[in-house]
Formats: sequence, structure tokens, C-alpha cells
Amino acid sequence: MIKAEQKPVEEIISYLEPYNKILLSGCGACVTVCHSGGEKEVALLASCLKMARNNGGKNLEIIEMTPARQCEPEFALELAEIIAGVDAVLSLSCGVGVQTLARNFKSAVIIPGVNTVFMGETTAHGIWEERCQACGNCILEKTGGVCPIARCAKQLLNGPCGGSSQGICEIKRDTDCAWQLIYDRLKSLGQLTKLSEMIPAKNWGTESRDKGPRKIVREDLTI
Amino acid sequence: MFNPKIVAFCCEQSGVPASEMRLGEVADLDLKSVPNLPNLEIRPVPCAGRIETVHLLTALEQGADGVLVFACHEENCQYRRGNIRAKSRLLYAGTMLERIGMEKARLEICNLATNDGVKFSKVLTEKVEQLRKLGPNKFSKISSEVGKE
Amino acid sequence: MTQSNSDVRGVIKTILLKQDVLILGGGFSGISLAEALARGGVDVTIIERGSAKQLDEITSRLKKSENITITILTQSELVDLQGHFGSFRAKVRKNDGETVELTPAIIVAATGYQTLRQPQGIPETAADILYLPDMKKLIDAAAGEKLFLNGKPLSAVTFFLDAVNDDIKFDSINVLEQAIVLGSRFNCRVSVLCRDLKVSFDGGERLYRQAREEGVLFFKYNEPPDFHLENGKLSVSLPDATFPNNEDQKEITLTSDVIVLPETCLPGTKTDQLAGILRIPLGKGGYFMDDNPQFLRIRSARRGIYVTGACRFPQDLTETQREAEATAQEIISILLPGTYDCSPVFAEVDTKKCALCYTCPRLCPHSAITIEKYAKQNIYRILNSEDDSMQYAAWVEPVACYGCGLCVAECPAQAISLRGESAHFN
Repeated sequence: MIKAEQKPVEEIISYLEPYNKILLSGCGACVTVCHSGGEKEVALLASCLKMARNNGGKNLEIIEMTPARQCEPEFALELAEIIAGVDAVLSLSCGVGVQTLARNFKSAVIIPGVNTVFMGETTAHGIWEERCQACGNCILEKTGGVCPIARCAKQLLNGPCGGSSQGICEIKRDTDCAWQLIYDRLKSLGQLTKLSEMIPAKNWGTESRDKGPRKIVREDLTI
Repeated sequence: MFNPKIVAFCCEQSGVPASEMRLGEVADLDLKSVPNLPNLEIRPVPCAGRIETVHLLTALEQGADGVLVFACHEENCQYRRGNIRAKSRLLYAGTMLERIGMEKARLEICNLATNDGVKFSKVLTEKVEQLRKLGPNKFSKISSEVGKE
Repeated sequence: MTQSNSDVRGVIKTILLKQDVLILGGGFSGISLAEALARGGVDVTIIERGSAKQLDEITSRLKKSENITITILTQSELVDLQGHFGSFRAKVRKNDGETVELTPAIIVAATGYQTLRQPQGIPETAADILYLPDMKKLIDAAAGEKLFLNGKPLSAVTFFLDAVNDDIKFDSINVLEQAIVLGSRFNCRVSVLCRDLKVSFDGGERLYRQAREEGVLFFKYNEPPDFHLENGKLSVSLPDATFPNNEDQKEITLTSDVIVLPETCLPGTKTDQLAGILRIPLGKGGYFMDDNPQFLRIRSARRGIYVTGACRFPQDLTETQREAEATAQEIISILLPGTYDCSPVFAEVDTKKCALCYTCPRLCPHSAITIEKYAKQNIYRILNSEDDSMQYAAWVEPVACYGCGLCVAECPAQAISLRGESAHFN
């Protein structure tokens, strides 16, 4: 799922300076699950922002809402009436949700309250790690289910760089060497021969993000 | 004299019994030093782990000058780790409050035992003194006049 | 001042209890417990991993006695556990692969411990190491007033305690008993090295005094002492900690014919696996954690599951027996009424808000929460639907809930509330 982290509250306070009445909108999906933008975080942040404003002798009126998802237009449009009555929207959804609101409410100020960080896995409760970078052409079949694009610091596609030490990456000392993980996994699957299959250099410009924002169209689904 | 408003979340396994001890039920102790605390509000919880991070903030937002959490000693939680969860939530809340400029002394956790009426009184007395020096909580709702002279 | 009071609005749920207990482990603990329970009118099933020949003797003895029904399944193992107190569903697999489902009201883990021989801190080349059971056999087999080991006469014996085991009383008991005999009958010079000596058992102090009067020397250490070979004999050096000031502590060197060690006590094999199946926590040392070592010793963190005997903590047989009887007493008093009134304070999940983030099942200290399927298929939440039976959501079992509120506070969607809660927070 998408993982996000709340922005430092000082940064959020600086964005909100010109506004006196805002909608603080959480999201019931990814950011709820990673505890950065759900209903609870909304309540907590609202209390904190109000107190910061009170300290300066002023008031900040906050309407708190947490729609099920902010990235579907229907959910976003449910907020229309509220948005019409506020100065700005502080959205704790991921970047997608913020932009969905921006596109659907042309004259509303939408401010992000979290930093969307990565697509990741929950490795333990309270701990999330990056797993996928949406490269557009998944090679996990060849690498035993471990992604070298997301997990190798050098994004090597055909084996380790040789700099790892005891399975730890030489660039990021707190990270496992992805190719060590790939090797171990393929070995336990009995598929080490896959390592001899060459993975061609990635076409970042044609099949991935370097060609500009991507789009998927399903002609059979469009209404 | 400024009587700071204190909200004390008390765990029913330790804080509540300790609070009920302080009123002179303990023999051989001079409790005359316990100040008159008209602005003390005790909120009992089955376990300190029941306290949500947002409760700590809204208590301050709605006019408390200080918030105390009384929980069992670590490793003594009846429910294994409620007091540790409470501590983590307090730390998280404390970081947020520090970033908006609130004084650290306004939010504190105290671990004590079921029969520790003396510690309960002591902590409260010290907190009242601390809060008197800090003055009323300027972060609370502007319309609230509770606890101010 | 707000007073605390638990909700007295009345009982929400009552469950029926069968007089049916499942005991895991057919050792001394499990059998003692089974007999005590059966005498109290409870149906007992014991499942034992091994073939346990001792169980045959018990079975035949029990068949002759009063109306005791104890079912014993040997070569069987618990592989899965669902349900909660009062209605557990235990899947038991036998060695031949066949599985059977049992539905006890209460489960007791009495799976024991294991011992290993680990000469910690002693040079591996030393041949003169004995373990406490070996020394006992040697003493019992000896005739006359001289003790021999491998043909050599023993005149200096050193016991080395607390290097591998922590807080094990029967090590002390065995050491004191053996030391007394070695000193009085076999005229050996006996030394005991220990961090501290546990004498909190019946007759412990008396035994210690007797050992001292027999001339047994006791040396306490803080840092593990240094063992080395000197002319082929095992020698140990340590400061004499009887002097309180470090400056006065001279270093003593003891040379012995043999060093006697206790066997290392460890949790039984697969204890951690069983803890995962039972969903109860492990405590210090990897044994099953008791809920409260002072007065809820035989309860686990989960209602309806108990832990007794060495699998909770290795102890000597009298204590194990007592613990088994205490467990039986607790269980009988709970099962006897035939019903159990759940506490009116328990957590409840609003299925419409549950985001399936898995926080609460991970967090619950009493394993009272699971993610349940409310309908046959996993259908995404229907917005504004009155029909909330069409989704997965977390489920808190009222009978297993302790009403602590940790899940309520932690749920990121604020989907859980504490039913019967008296406090108001805002």
C-alpha cells in the first residue's frame, strides 16, 4: 500500500497562516492503515493546530472529516458542501488524494499534510519498508519475488555489485543487499538457473516513468 | 493565587486506589502538606493503555494547565503492556506539543503502585508548584477562563 | 472528584460451560492435574506427544479406581486452536496423520521442560566433569567410605552453580544433599561456587546449616570464575566475596578432582511453536508466561488457558504437585456452576469503520481479537449500506475480553468502543 508520513507540524502551521477556517480531511484507506492520516490522526492534528493558533491569541476553526477514500471522484465530491464553506482544505491523504480534490474543486486551496513516501510492506507492526517503485515492467518472476529496482541501492538488474558485506549493502548500511536476498530466495526455490537469464537494461524512457505521467485506458470498461 | 487546573488520568489498578489513599487514610503520615486542589479533575480508566493520544491534547486544548497520567510500574501492567503503550503515546504527544512551543512540564506520566498514596500526593504537589511558575496554559481555547485569576 | 466505578448495568452475555478440560502433556504435571480434575468431576483429555509408557501404568491404575474418566491420546500433538474460553476448537493430529477435533472449555499446558549438558566456562578438554544426576548415581552405587571416579579416588569436589541456570531451586536441593553426603560419608573436601543459594523450600535453611556444619565451603561470585587446567587437574580462581571490601578480597584457587555441574534447564522443544498455536506469550527464558507470578501464577494471559508445572518454570516435584492441585482447584471452581457471566465491560468493533489494518489482533494482550469473515465472500464495504454483514472486520470475543481498552485507544479508524465504559473523555 501507499505509505505516508505526516509533515512536521511547523510546516503545516506555516501553510495555514492565511486561513481561519479549514476542512481537515483524512482518508480511510492507505494513510489510515499506516497511521498517518486516518480519523485518529485527523483529531490529533486538529487539536494540535488549534492550540498552536490559540497560543498566538487567535482562533482556527477546523471541520474534521475522513472520507473512505479521497482518490475516487465520488468520495471527493461528497465533501463539496463543506469545501464551499471553508478557506482551505488540509488533506492528509496521499498525493493522489490531494490532486483529486484539486482537480474537482477548481477554486479551493488544497494543502497536503503528509509526505507520500513509498509503496511498501508492513514488515512488523509500526514498521514499513519500501518494496515497489512502479517501474512499469515487473521482473519479479526472474528475481524470486525480490525487487532489485526498489531494494537495490544501485538498481542493478543482473547480479550484485560485489560490494556487499555479510549480506548488507555497502551504500546503505542498514539495508540488506537485494541481490543476496534474490540469490537466497531463488536457491530455496531451486531456481538458481534463472540467474543466468539476462534481464535487459530497463527502458526508462518507453516503459517507465521517464516518459512522463503514465495512463491506463481500458476501452472495454469505459462507460 | 493561581490554582492550575490539572487533569489526572488515573489507571484503575494503580492511580485510582492511590488517589483514594491520599485523603488521610494513610496512618503515620503528615498529609497537611497536600495542597487544597479545587481544580483537580480525575479521569479513571481501566488501564493507562485506554488513554488515546488525542485525549491528552484535547484536555490541554479545553483548558487544563497540566495533564498527568498515573499508571502502573512498567512490567506490572495487569494487561501486560497498557502502561507502555500509554508511555509511547505520551512521548508522541509530547513531541507534537514541543513543536508548537508548549512547555514540557504540562504533560507528564508517573508510574506508581496501588498503595502509593504518598507518591500520588507528592507528584501532584510538585506539579502544582511547577504550573504556578509556568502560569496559565496559553494554548487552550481562547474563550475558556478556567483556572485563571 | 470523579469516582471510578465499573458498569453495573447488568450482565450482557452468559455462556454455558462443559466440564471438559484438555491437558497438553502427559508427564508428572499433566497426570497430577488430570487426577485432581477427574476427582472433582471434570472430564479430562490428555494429549501426549510421545508414546509415554508411564501413561499405560496410570491408565490401568485409574481404570480400577472411582468414576474417573480420563481420555489419553498418545503420539498426538495440538496443531491448531480456534475459538475461545468455553468453546475452544482444538485440532489434534496423531502420528499416523489422522486429525481429530476436540472442544474443551478450558485448556492447560503442562508440557514440561528439557535439560541439556553444557559445560559453560569450563575448558572442554577437562575430563573431570560430572553432572548432578551422574554424581547422585555414583554416590548411590558406592560401597564403603571411599568414592571412586574412573578408578581415581575423589577427595576434593567442587559444585559450580548459577552459570547456566537462574533461580532453579532443585539445583540447590541436589547440591546441598550431595554435598552433605560427600562430606560426612566420603570425607571429601567439598566446595560450592554460586551466585546465591536458594533455600526457600521446606527444610532448606536446615539443610544449608547442616552442610556448613559438615564443613562444606561456600564461595559466592559475581563475575563467572576462571577455570583452567593445572597439572591435569581442574582449578578455579575467584575472589573471596565474603569480605565486603574489595581490597580485602584475596583470590582463592581451588583444585578439585571433579567439578559437578547442574544440567541446563530449557523450555521444552517446540514450546515457542505451541505458544504461537495457543496465542499466549512466552516469558523470561522462553517458558510460558504466567499472568502474575505472585497470585495468578497458573493463568496465562488468555482466559481459559492455564500453564502449570515446568513449562511455566522448572521446579521440584512438591511444587509441581501443589501447582497442579491449585490449577485443578481454580478450574473446578470456574466450571462447576456450569455457566460463566461475561464482564459487562468489553470492546466492540463497528464493522462499518473497520479498515482491516490488523492493529488490534496484533496488540491485544489477551488474544481476544481475530479478523472474522462476516459473509462467504470478501466483498468491499458498500458505502452507506445498512447491511453490515457483507465484509471482513475485526471481532472481539466478549468472553475473552478483559476490558482494558488498549484496542479502543489504538484503532486508527476509531472503530472500537468499550461497551459499559463509565468514563467520558471529552
